[in-house]
Amino acid sequence: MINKLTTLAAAIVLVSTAAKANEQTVYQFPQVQVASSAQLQTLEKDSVEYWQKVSGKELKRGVPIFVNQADNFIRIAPKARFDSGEVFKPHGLQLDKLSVRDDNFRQMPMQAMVAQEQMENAGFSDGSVGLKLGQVNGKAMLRTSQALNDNDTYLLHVIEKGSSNALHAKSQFKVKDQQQRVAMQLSMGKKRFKDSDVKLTLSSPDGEKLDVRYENGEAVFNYPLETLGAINGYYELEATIVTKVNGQTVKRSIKMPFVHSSQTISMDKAKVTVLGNNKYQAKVPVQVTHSGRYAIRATLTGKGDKGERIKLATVEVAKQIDSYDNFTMPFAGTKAAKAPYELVDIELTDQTRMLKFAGE
Amino acid sequence: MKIKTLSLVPALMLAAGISHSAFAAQGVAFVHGTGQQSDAYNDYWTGSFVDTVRQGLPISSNYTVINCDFDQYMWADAASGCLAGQLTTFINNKNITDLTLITHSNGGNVVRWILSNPTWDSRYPNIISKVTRTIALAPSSGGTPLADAVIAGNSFEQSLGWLLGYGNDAVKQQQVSWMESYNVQWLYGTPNRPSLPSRFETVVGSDVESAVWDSDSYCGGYQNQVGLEVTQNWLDSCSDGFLNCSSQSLAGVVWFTDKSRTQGGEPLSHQQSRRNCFGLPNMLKNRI
Repeated sequence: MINKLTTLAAAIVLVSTAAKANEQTVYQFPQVQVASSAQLQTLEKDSVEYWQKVSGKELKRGVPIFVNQADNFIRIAPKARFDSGEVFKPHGLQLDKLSVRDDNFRQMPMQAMVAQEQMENAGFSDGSVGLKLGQVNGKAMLRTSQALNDNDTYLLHVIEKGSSNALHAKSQFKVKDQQQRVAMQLSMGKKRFKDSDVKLTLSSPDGEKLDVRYENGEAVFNYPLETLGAINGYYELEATIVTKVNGQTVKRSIKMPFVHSSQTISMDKAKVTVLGNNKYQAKVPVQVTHSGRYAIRATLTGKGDKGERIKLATVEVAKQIDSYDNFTMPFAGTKAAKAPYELVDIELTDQTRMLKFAGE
Repeated sequence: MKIKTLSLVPALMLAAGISHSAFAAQGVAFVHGTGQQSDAYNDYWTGSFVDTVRQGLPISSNYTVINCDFDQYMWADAASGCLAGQLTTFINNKNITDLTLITHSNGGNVVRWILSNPTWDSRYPNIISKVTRTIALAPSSGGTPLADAVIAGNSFEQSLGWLLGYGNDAVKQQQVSWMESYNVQWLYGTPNRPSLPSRFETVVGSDVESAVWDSDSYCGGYQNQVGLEVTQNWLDSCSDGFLNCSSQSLAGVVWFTDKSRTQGGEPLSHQQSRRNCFGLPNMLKNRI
């Protein structure tokens, strides 16, 4: 028994050594896989919220809040700021110092006030406090009597759950290299917005703010995007609009992610070799523009007895590629098939930058 | 090549006259949700949960509790890479051939990442071949509007996130539109996508009880229940206080929705679906 185990272990070591030398990671799916759906082209989203940055000075003076329905919630959070190379976070807000007044300076009733601890239990661990207005007329001013630093910044975040005044956004998800326009349609019911109604910001995956403007349903910027792929997160466009609906002021913000993509890998026609016993090997020549780890997933097809095309197996292979190279894809089918053999449902992946491409 | 390594092993075992069943071993791994864990047994799951569930194994010591940094994106080395490392060690040390994963919340996404991207890491194929089932407790498969809310207006702070509590990469990842993009391009198991290589069954939490007078509200810690009046501003009427039911049931198949099977028909809040509440660990024990 010990001898058998030793032989077994030695055989496994030999095979493992060979696997390392080959460098490929290979996986054959237990069943033939259906084709992946088409590449994600657009994203759509609705928002019944808005958020804005306010200063300590503004909060002491009074900040207008746009609330038009009884179901509302207002969150106020201290925001970090840079000063002389250091990051500062302002003092937390005291609930008992906050008040909301109408345009006649009368104090408006609060339905609920939510302390920091409760907000933290709800997942807001940034020092937020919250409140709900009991009575709304769209002309409320939030202010504090707390001695805040004028330069400190706070986030004001308002949600009107279930509001019929939802901002709808439909935006392009995949932005090609060198492209400096991203389609972003904004609407509220049948209402469309003028360029000047839309305040737009653009953030890079690492949080850097980039110049951007809104022009005819597109976000426009005058520089090439630097970060390729989704490995560090997405670029994000953030739009804020203020509009009038039935005489009431409605404010909404919405954030749409997109990925900056470039065709970093391309392939040539695969050559399929029959190994016998329903086993095959496909060699796929590829070329990459950036070195990194890449993968190919494909389903091998052949011809059945009646000439029909049958799917034999789905395999995924990944390896490091620096310029020109080949993927070697081993397929083990469970049924026989005749030539011509062909790869279908091909998907190429740039695993280093997190990008997906359809194969040829 | 890895595939040849895998397919050769049974052949070599047969040739050596060793039956597969001599090596067969069932195991279970507990995979936590968002957060960086160093003692998830005590801090995330609690011992009574883990120790009850593992009694369902033929060998009750064949379990592992994962401790990784799931504050990172699911594909990060500290997240799925760490999970792959700990699962590989467990599989090798215990000769596991039949592995059940029990995940909570974002742990379901990290597991789906491994199951959906088999060549991302050379350790993945072996893990995928051993995983026979994932029981995903309240998985955030479709993300949560609460992640969007936490991130809203704070893109600058996110780059400093872990210092200041403004969220982290895992929170960013669980924004609804971000998860939509991952589900369409990177993850399997959601509608119109390839199926996962093994069964992914979910337990859905549909409600939160936070009544001071109801002792059931205290299971798992009362303080964790009371955030609901805040979170409900962003969530549907069917939610576990952190995730909408639609998000929890988006990937795989629903095993059950809390009230249909829990003791007393109690709902499982997001905190309670990883604790010894309302008979959940016993149901898992009988399931594995």
